[in-house]
Amino acid sequence: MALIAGTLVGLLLNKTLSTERNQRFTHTIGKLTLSLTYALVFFIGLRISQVLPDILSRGQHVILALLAFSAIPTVASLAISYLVLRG
Amino acid sequence: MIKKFGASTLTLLFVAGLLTGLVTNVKTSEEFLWAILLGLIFAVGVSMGLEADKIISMNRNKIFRGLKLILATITGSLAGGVITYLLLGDPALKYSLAISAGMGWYSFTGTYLASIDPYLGFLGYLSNVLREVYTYIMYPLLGKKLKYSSISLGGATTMDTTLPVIASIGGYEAGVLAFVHGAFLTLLIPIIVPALT
Repeated sequence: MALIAGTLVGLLLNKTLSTERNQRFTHTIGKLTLSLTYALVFFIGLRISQVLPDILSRGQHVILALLAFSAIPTVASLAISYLVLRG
Repeated sequence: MIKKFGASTLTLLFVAGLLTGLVTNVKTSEEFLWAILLGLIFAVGVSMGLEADKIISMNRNKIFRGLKLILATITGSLAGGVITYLLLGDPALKYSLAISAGMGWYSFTGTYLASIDPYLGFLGYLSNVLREVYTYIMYPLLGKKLKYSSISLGGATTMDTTLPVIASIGGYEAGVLAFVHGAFLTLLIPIIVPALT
């Protein structure tokens, strides 16, 4: 809902604002997005700190899981994209 | 467009959050995290709407190629989630799929999954941060020969953080395709990840 509402607001602004104002507003929204991302990352860290001892007690499994969950979907995406686009 | 996020700043903030929690015992509520997340999703939506002209101005062939690339990225990410589950057996299949369906949008995936289980949030956040890091490393190596299919490495990050790398190595056309790819994935991830859990 938030995404749809935001997109509709953005489309409305896109139609009503002049090019210069559109650029300025896009810049402001970019800064807002950046600030919210920074805040979110800090609070994710805070939230995870509450279970960090439990996570670390899993030892090697955590490292393996992190590597697998990052590398395998990334490589699989590349492989399928290559098969589809061939370039 | 969303400004480039400094990977080192994000890492520092994440570590600062961890240390703050460990040292001060300050806690954060799920409602608070959700409020920030909804604000972020709304802002991303506004950003998309403001830049709709870029997508509309593309010709049909490029849009078709972009759609194929988006579908391939989603299929590959989900297939990767299944493979990882088969290799590790933990967490459950639906959570493994959700982590891999984050496709690089770590702030969304991390927050959403942390509301279910902080360990899932940990995996969802860091594995998607690593996907962005892999793109920074791998696109310069592969982008000359596979300038279009390599875009899928970056997932949703190709509309902002990894776009400069793709545009500088793959060229203008790859840059435009990367933006559309990342923009559509950014719209789809908040639907796909909750649907899987």
